[in-house]
Amino acid sequence: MSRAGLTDNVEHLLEPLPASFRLDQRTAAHLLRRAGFGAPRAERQAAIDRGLAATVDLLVAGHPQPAAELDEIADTAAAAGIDQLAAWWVARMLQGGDPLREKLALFWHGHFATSNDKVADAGFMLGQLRVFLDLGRGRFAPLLLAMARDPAMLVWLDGELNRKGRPNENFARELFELFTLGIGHYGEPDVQEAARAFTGWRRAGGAFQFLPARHDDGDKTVLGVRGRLCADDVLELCLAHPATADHLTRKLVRFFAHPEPPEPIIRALREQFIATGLDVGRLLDRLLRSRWFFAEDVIGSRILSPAELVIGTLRTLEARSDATAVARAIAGLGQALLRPPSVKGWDGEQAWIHAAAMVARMNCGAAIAAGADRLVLDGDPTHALGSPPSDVPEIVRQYAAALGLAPLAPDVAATIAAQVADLTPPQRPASVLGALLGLPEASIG
Amino acid sequence: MIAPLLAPLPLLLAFGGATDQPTPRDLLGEGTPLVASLDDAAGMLDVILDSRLFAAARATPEWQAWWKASGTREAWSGARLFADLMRSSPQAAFSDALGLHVDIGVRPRADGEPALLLWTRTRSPDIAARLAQVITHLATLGGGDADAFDDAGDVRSANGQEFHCVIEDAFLISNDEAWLEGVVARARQGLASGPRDATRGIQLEIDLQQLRGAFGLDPLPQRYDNALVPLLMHGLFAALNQAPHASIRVLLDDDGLRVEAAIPAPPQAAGDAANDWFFSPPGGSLPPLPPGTLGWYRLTRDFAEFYDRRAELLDPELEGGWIEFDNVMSIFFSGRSFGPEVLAALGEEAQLLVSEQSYGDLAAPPQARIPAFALITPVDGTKLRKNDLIIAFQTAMGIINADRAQNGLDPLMIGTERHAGVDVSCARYLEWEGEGAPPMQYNFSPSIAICEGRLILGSARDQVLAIVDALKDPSQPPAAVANSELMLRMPTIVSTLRANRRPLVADRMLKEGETSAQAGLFFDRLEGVLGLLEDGTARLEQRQDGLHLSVELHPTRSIAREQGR
Repeated sequence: MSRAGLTDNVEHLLEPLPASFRLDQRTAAHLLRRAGFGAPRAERQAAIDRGLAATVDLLVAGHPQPAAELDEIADTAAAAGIDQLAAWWVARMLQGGDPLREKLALFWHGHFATSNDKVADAGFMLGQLRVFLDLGRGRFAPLLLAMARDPAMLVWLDGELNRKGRPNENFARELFELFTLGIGHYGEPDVQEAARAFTGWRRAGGAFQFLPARHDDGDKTVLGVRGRLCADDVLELCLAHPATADHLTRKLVRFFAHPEPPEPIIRALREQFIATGLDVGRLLDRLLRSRWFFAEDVIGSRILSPAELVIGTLRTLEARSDATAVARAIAGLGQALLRPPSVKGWDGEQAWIHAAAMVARMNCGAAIAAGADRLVLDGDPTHALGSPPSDVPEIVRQYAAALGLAPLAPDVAATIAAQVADLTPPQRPASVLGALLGLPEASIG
Repeated sequence: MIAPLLAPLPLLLAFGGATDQPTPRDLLGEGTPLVASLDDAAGMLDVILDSRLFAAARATPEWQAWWKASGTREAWSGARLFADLMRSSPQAAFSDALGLHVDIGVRPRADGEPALLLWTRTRSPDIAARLAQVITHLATLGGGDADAFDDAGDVRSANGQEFHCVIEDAFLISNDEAWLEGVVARARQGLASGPRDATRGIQLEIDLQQLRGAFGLDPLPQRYDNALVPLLMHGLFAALNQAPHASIRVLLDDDGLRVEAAIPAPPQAAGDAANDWFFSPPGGSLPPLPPGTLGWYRLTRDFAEFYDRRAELLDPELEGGWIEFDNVMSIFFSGRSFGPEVLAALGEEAQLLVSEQSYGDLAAPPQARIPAFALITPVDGTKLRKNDLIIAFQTAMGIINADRAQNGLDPLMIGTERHAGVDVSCARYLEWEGEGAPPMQYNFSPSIAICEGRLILGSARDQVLAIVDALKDPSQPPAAVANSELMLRMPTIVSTLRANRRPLVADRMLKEGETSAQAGLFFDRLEGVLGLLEDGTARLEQRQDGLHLSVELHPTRSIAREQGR
C-alpha cells in the first residue's frame, strides 16, 4: 500500500474489526501473545468462543484479584532477596491471571529501567514493581509522578545526591531523554534547570521525603516556561509536551504491535493518546481490536524477548515450573529481570538474537523439551500438545501448529522429520519439540 | 517374584560375630556377593502396619492415588491371589511363608543378568508344600507346565524360568537352576541357616570385592571438588573401596529404627594417602547443650594435617582458591600460617552447635527466623593467644563493615562484655534512630569467647553466652566415644520449621509452582512426620576391627498405635 494510500486508509485500519470477525487459533494466539505471555490451548479456545471484542474488554479491564496468593507472599519473596523477587514476578507471569497487567509491568520495567545492581534493595524493587502493576494500565501521569518519587528510582538515578547548590542531573536527563520527551526535544539548559527543580528529594526509610531545606526554589526556565518551578511543575510540563505522547506511543506500538510501525498509524494513535490524557489502557484497547493489529505484516513481526519466549513457551506447554529456574533461564538469554543493563533498559528486537543468544535460545528450548533444569516439573513436556500420531511428519505438523509455528517451510519440516525418524516412538515427541523450539521461527511472535 | 522382596533392602553394615550355626553364606555358597537375611519379618511388618506413621501416610491423597495406580492394583491383586491360594489373609500368608527367617542371595549369571535365590523357613512342612503349589499355579498362569520337574532331584519348574524346591519346612526358589541345586544339596547336608538370635531385623552381608568385579562398580572417588567431603568422609570412602566385605543390620521395633553397619579396616600402605588417614581417636566430651539446642555435630580430625595434605585430597583445580584462602586467613591472623600455626593450635575436635534463637526483641524481625550456629573447638593458649583470636575476629568484622558501608548500611558495632568471668566480644547492629520503619535485621550478632580452654565462635551473642554458661556448669557432659557424631532434636526442629513456615511455604510455591494450600500441606506433613520422632543420631566410630556406623531414630512414644497393642 502506498504512503498516500496508508494515510487515507489509516482510520479504516484502526477501526475495530467487525463483529463478524472470528478469532481462530492463529489470531487468538497472536492476540494473547502480544497482550500477555501466550496462552494454553484452553485459554485460546475460550478467547475464540468469547470473540475478539469481549476478549479485548477482558484484557483491558483486567482481573480484580489476578494473583491473590502470590500477592500475599510478595514481601516474603523480597525479604529473601532479588533472585526470589524475580522468581515471584515470573510466577505471576506464568500464572497468567491478568496477562495485560503483567505484560505492561514488563514494558514499564524496560521503560523506567532500574537495576537492583545499584539499588541493592529488593524491597524497593518490589515497591517499584507494584507501581507498574497498579498504575501501568491507566493514565501515564499518575505513573510518572509515582515513579519520580519511587525510592528505587531515587537510588538508581542519585536523586538523594541532588541538593540546592549541588544539583545532580541524572534523573532530569533521563526524565527528558528516556521517560518522556525523547531525544531532540529539549536542550542541555533544560536538563540543568530541571535538576534544580528536583532538589530536596530523598528516601526516609522506604518512603519518599521532601526536604525544603535542600530544595532550590529559585526561578528556573524549563522547556520555555519560567518560574519558581518545583518537581511536579516540571513533570506536568513533560506530560503536556506533545513529544511525550509521541515518544510513548511509538514505544507502546513497537512493543505490542510492530517494530517499525507506519507513521500514519503512530500519528492517529498519538492523537487519541493525547485526547484521552495519555491513557495507556485506552490506547491499547483501540490497538488490540483494530484491523491493523491483525494484519499479516503485524502477526509474527516481533522478535520475542527472553521473558516472552520462555514464559510463552511454558504457558503453551501448560507446564508447571520452578519459577526461580525460569527466571535464571530468562537471565541466561540476556534479560535479567530487575537488573537491566542500563537506564535505557534492553534494546530488544535484533539485539536479542546475536549468534551467542541464538545458541542459548536453542539450548533453552532443548532443556524445556527434555524437562531439564526444573523448567518443566511435571514429567512430559509434550502432554499439552496432544497425543502424538504414529507418523513422524504428522507429529511435526501437529506440534508446530500447537506451538504457533505453522505453517513450517516444507524443507524445515522434512529436516526435522528425518532427524527424528530413527528414534523409537517414545523418544520422538520430545525430540520433535526440542527441534521446533530451536528453530529461529520460535523466536518470532 | 523374588525381586520385589529385595527392593526395600537398605545398605547398612553390622559385622556379625562368629557363631556355630551355619551362616547364610554357607547355604548360598561362594560367589554370592550379596546375602541378606530377614528375621521375624512378620513382626517388622506388624510394627509398620500398626504405627501412627503408617496410619498417617494412608490418610494422604498421595497414598490414595498411588493405591489406585494400575501397577499397585495389579501387585495387590497378585498378593490377594497368593493369599487366597494360601487359604489365608495377605498378612497371615506373608507371616506363614516369609515371617520366620529368610535368606536371599544375589550373584551374577553367565548371561549378565542377576541370579536371585530365596530360602525361607516357613511355619510348617504343610505351608512349605502349599507355597510350592501356589508358585506352580502362578507359573502356569503364564503358560507353564505344572507337571514338569527334574527327575534327578527335587527341583521343580513349571515354566523353565523359576525353579523351586521344598525341604521339610523350608521353601527355596531361584531363577538359576544350577545354583538352586547346589543350595538344595547343602541344605540337605544340614547347612541351612536359621534365625541368628531373637532380634527382629534385616542383616545384609556384602562381598565388596566380588560385587565390584561382578557388576563393574567404579571405586568411590579419592579426590574431591568440595573440601567438606574429605573432611567429613574421607576414611570411610577409602575403607569402602578396599574392604573385602561389609555387613549391615536393620532393627525395627517399638523403640525405633536402628541401622548398624561395619566395614573392616583396609590394609595400611605406607605413603598411600588414600589408605593411611582415618579419623583421630575419639576424645573429649559431648558438646555443651544450652537450652534450645536444635542439633549438634561433632568431629575428631587432625585438621592441621588435613589442611596440609589438601592437595592430595582435593581436585587440583581448587588449588588456586586455596592459595587465596590461605592468604586471606594470614591477614586475619596477623601473618601466621593458617595450617601449621592456627589450625595446629586448635584441638583435634570440632563441635558445631545449632540453636533456636529469639527474635522477640528485634524492632523489625525478619521473615526467615534462622537458627544460631556456633563452632566450639579446644584451643592451645600457648600457641594461639586470646588476643590473636580477637584480632582475627575484629579484622573479619572490619571487612564485613566495609562491605556494608559500600551498600549504604550501618556497620555492626564491636564491643566486649564480661559474662560469668569470660570476655565475650560481640558485633551488633546499632539501635535504629532513623525516621520511618527500621530496616529488617536478622538476629545476627557474631561473637567470640574463650572459655574453659575452648574457642567459641557463634553467629548470635545470646547463643554464645548460653554456651559459656553450659561450659561453666560443673556437671560434666559424657565422654565422647565416636569419632564423628550427629544428633538432631526433632521437637526443636519442628519448632524452627513452624517459625519459618511463611518463607518456606513461599519458597515452595515459587519453586514447585504450588498453590499456598499445596505448599502448606507439604509442611504440615513434614511437621507431622518429624513430630513423631524424638531425636535422631548418627555415629561413626573407628575401632580396632574397622569402621562402625550407626543411625538411630527414636519416636516420641511407641510408634505403635495406643489401642490394640
